[in-house]
Amino acid sequence: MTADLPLVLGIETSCDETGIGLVRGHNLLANEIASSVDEHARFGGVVPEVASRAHLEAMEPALERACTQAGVRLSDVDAVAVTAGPGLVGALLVGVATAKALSVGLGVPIYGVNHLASHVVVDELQHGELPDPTIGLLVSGGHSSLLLVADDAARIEPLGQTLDDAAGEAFDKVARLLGLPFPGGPWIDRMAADGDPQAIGFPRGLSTERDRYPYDFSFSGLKTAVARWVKAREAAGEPVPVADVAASVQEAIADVLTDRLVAAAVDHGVGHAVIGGGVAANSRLRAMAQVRCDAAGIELRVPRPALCTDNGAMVAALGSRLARSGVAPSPLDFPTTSNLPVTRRSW
Amino acid sequence: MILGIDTSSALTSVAVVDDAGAIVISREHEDPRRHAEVIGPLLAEVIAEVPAIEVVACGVGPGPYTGLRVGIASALALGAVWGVPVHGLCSLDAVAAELRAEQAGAPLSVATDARRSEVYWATYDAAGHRVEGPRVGRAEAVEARVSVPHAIWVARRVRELVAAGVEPVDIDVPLDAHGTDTGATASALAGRDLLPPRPLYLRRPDAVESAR
Ligand SMILES: [Zn+2]
Repeated sequence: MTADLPLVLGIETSCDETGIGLVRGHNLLANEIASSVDEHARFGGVVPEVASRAHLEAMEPALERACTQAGVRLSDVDAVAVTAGPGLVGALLVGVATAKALSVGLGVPIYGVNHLASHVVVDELQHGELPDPTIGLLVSGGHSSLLLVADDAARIEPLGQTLDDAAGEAFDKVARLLGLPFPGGPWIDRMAADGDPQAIGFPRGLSTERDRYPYDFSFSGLKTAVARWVKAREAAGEPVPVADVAASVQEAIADVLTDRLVAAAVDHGVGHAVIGGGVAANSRLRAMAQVRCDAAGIELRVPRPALCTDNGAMVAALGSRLARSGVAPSPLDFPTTSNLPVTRRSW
Repeated sequence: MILGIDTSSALTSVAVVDDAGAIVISREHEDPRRHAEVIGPLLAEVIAEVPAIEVVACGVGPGPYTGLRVGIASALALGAVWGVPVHGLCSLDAVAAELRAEQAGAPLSVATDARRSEVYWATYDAAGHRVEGPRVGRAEAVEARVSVPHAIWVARRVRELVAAGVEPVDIDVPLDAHGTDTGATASALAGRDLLPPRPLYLRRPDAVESAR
């Protein structure tokens, strides 16, 4: 039966990862990623032109590796899916141009899809059909939002979002304050393993404004508090306990995110939740979300880290779902949209 | 049959030439911001007409990088699908080849708008060989380098940049309408000056390294 389902190729180039995924139904056959993250490290953040150059260099080899990994030929592909937005325009263009040429050359349909929706739907590759409805917590370097995902993911309604920095951005900024490399998330996670999460009581943004912002996040205050704390230590001539700061920051971020996630699920009477995006790879966030969701009777799904960070498999997963659902393919002239709203699942 | 793709200017151009260099089909669309949108329909139209492509040639600039990458990415993808070679061609060579058809036997220079008051340029001898470039720089500096009396400067805005001294030949047809696609594919046929299918980046990315 699986063999009858279309083989979908997914292409992701919205930021600094060139991702190619091959998916049939819910089966993941290949997930090839070439990252330019090392090239951005010395700039302390992703440089769009550097990312765009890297995408073009990496694309064809990644396509080839993905086909080899899946044991298929390019000519076996039945449909192409590609991230149409949101993301860096120059980076998106490389993926979209590649996808359109593949679609034309192979004579197969193309789906220009939403990167954010892909982060949610990717979980189907690990845990099967997404429960309907489900609350999605999407956390990465570019986005932090709470979503109500309903009608087989055809309806995605934003419930809340960050008012300033994204969660991943907060990790990056704190890491920088502590002299840790970019990207900061994995480093904070690593350092925090040896620290005391209760050592410092960093602020939980918007915690006193729950009525006005029930499901929103704010991390700029946290960054400021960490900067002030570190500076005070340095001024006093005392060493900065990096592990304790990392653990305490991670605790604050995980606390806020999981608090809003559970609140949104409970308030909307939704018994399922899924976490996606690069920050979902954070060990403390995963653990805390599990405990709190269990306590609230919410069934939580978190894909494995390789599916959380940006990748082509997630794009193929959404493409696969669209193809199975009989959604009309995108027109060949669909645009790339840097600020594509989450409510628009595909073109 | 050779498929040529060029997105090094405001034009997105796609064309097929036969083994004799004759254009079988040519399609183009002018809009500096919509290369990635229009390339899909243009490719579909051209390939529907000529399905059996043996070589793909793409303009590798110099030109604005964002648009340039669209054509090269498309060429690489089609090469992978069909299992055919993909060659890069200097987009200025393609313009020069077209100009030579009109102005045979004279040395010439091609300069295109590189923005920031600069031009992308290359010079060609009377036999049509590129002798300098492609480079990027101020138009005045280029002018100083090219002392030949028959230099031909093209591109609409470049003319305004070039001071008197070298007599620019006034070409009525704007650069973009020269359809670098046809020139590119013709050069591919000749098998001369083939480049890897990678953009000619003549400038470093604008970025400042962080202090910490
Ligand atoms: Zn992402």
